[in-house]
Amino acid sequence: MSKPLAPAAVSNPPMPDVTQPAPKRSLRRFRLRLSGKFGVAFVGLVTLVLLIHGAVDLFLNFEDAKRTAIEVQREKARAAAERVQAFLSEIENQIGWTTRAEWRRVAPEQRRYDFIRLLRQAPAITEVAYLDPSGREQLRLSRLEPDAIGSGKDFSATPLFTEALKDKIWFGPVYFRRGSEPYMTIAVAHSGRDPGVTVAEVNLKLIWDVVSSIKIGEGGYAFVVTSNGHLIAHPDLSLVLRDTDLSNLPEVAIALASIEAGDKRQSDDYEITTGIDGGSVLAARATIPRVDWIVFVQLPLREAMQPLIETVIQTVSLFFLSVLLATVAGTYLARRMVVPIRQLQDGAERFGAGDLSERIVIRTGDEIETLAHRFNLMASRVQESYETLEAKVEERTRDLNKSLDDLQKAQSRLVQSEKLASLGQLTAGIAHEIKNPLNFVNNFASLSSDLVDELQEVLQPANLDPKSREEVDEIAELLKGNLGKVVQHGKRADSIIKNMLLHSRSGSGEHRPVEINALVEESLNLAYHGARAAQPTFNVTLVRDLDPAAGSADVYPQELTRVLLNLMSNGFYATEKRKAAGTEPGYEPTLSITTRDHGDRVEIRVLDNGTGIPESVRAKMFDPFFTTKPPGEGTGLGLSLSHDILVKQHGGSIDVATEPGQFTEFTILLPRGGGRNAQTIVAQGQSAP
Amino acid sequence: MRRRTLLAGLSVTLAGRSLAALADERAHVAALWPFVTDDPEGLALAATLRATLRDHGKSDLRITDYWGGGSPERTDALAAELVASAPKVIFTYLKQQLAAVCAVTRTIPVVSVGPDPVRSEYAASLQRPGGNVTGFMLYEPSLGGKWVAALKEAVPSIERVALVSNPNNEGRYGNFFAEPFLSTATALGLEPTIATIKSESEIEPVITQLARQERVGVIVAPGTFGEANGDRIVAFVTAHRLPTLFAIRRFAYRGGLMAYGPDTTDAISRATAYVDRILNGENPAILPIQLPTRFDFIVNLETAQALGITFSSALLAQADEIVE
Repeated sequence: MSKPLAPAAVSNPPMPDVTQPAPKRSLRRFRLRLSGKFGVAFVGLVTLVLLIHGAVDLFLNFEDAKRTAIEVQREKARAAAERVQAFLSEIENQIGWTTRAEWRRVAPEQRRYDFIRLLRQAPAITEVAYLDPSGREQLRLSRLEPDAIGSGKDFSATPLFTEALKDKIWFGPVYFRRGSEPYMTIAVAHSGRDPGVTVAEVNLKLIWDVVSSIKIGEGGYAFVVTSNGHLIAHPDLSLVLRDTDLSNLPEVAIALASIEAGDKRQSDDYEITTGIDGGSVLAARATIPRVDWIVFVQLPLREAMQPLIETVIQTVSLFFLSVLLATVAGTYLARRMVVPIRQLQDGAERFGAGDLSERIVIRTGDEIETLAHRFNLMASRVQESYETLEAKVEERTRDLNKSLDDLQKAQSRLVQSEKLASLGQLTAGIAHEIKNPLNFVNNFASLSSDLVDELQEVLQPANLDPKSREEVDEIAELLKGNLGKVVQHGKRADSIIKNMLLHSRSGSGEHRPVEINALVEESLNLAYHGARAAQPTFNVTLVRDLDPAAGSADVYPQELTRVLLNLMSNGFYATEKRKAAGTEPGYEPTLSITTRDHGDRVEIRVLDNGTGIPESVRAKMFDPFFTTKPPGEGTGLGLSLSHDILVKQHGGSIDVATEPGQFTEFTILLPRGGGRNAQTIVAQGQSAP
Repeated sequence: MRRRTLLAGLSVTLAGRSLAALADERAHVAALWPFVTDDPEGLALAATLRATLRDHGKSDLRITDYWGGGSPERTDALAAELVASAPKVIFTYLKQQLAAVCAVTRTIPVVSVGPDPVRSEYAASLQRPGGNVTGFMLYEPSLGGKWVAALKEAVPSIERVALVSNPNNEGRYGNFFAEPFLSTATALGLEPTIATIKSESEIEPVITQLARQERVGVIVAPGTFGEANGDRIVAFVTAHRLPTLFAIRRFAYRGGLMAYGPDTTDAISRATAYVDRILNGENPAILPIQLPTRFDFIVNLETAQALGITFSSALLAQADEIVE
């Protein structure tokens, strides 16, 4: 048992996974387009209005048709009742002329004649009898039996005799001969005093002729029942012959009940009920008071309501036609309304996709056109901003490129600085190591020179041949000269080492706020006089353009002075060199110093109209030990040192602008708080090794 | 192929009425008559049947007439034959014909004109026959008395009355008309005789036998035998100058003195309504068997004159038709 169950249980869980997406899909499917919504709303409204109208119309029509149909049926019922009554009256009339007052006195033969004639003329009468005033049968004629003359049978106590005398006429109850054929006894009292009675047996089958000739529409008919509900006349004679009891038929039952209650009102003499053959019928009735028969007239409800059904069909077809029209119109209108919206949508999609070249063209003259306009406007704006944005991006890109270049330059410079730093440390080490032996060399060379003098003095008193003396003096002089050269070059080496140490040990001294213009002035004087001292013929035109707003900056004044001296002496050298070339007769060497205030920075420019710097040199001029001066005149550390001082120590910058044979201009930019900030950098640099 | 079937179906659907007519044509009506093939009365009644059915809208209906004459053997054979042809409704005229058909089938609806099916036990009751047989009766037993009274009134001189009957009038309870006939004759002071003729050859001896008596009146009862041999009987009674009353009305026209009997044409036309209703699908078991309502009294003045009889004015007043 459990085995077949197990796989089912296993296979069940994945089911929800499969079915779950379905509702989502159906939800999506429920989304109505705008045209659909509009169409549905339009058609729905029209349908609603039509439905209400149709319903009201139908209701009114229904009542009207019902009233008319009932009125017609009632009329027909009365007419039918009259015709059935006429049938009875006819028989009564025919019997009537055997009830003349003098009939009693006519000869028996003549009575027989009259009865024969009566039978001939009234086919419904199958038997007729004459009862004399004492109630005895005197004559009986029958279609089926031999005539009985003077049988003397006593009927005086029977209702047909007593009731007929009382009421002039007596209608007996309906009875069925051989259980089949409906018969009724009619007894009519003769006129005059002491009357006899004529009794007739009437075959009611012949009312059939009357009833079947009553035409009620197409499918309707009339029928007659007795006061106890037995059918006595119906177009289908066989129903009558079957002795049908209709007292259970709803319409008959109601009629019998109302008659029993003595209700003679006409208002409820119709029913909509189930007919004899089943199916709904509209039945109206009328009573024949003398015999207490009820004549029913019934018409299939369908037929009675035919006008109504036609109205319904008309209304319904009109309804459907209208709905169809509404649908067509709604669809058309919805389309018309939706087309510009679609265009708008397409346009918006295009804009959204970035295609701003086209514009939405809608000429509906309504809000949608306005909306399209707005869209177009928006598109234009977007397009404009695009263009601006592109320009900006281009600009930024250019800036970025420039920054990148700068960054690369700075990087290379940094690399160089690093190189220089390590080189400086190496140099410092070497210089230190070299300095001691060089001191020995210098001191002992100087001492030796003194010793040579002392040797000559010692030798002065000694007896030496002149030749020897001369030779000694000559050697002594030579020694002194050599020693002098040792001292001279030793000093030079010492100077170099000192410089090297300076170079490697930058950051010496104090930093403090210094008046830039004053510093520049001082440096210029120092440089100029230095140059004059070295070469008395030196001459240069000095141009000062000092910005009074240059103010002060926090710098290492010693170091900055060195830088300025360096640059100035380079400038002097360049002008001298150009002058020495002598190719330009009117050449006037000029050096101009300019200071400028740049807010948080100060600019110092040193411009000379010397030989300029060739392209090949420019790349290497900040490298240490690079010099264009003849050996012995420059250490090659000037610019390198200056660069370090300005960039590393003060966080400033140095730039050169030059034109070979024309001018060279160094531009220094110093941050006003440069020294303060740079201190830490230098300190770190020092603490690193 | 499928389209053709569809079209055929469509045409059948559209021609629904004609299809129904076709079905009607297939289902035919068989009528069994007690006449020989060329009997004018038979032809007239058959024509009535056709005409009335046509009036009911059954113009395309196939009606086959079987002419059995008075021969029981031939009638039985024809009954078997017509039942074998499986008609929708069988129409029989008179008792022998109904009996012959009922011996073969108790299922095919039978509309009978003439006998009392309840007496023959083919039907349970008049109002609800309950079987396959319904129809219209032509005679009632009380007519036996009526005939005697009428004959006595016409020929007051008669002292004896003879009912010339035939086996068709015999049933389980004896002769159909015997009781009223005998009682009325006795009441009128007449000496009654019932002479049953079983075959054609017995007619002459029976009539001759009756003619030997004085002042005798003859009543010829209805039935297949009477229908078939009426003319012969008329010839014999005329030859023997016997005042004769026929139950079958046409023999008053053929030389009989008088006749009191039902209007057969009327009965047939009313029975046709039942044939029509059964063709329309109604059940014969619930169609009530109807009694005769109308009888015609016919007198032949020519024959009266020949017999030297003068009818009283009262009698003439009763006559529906007078043959002169």
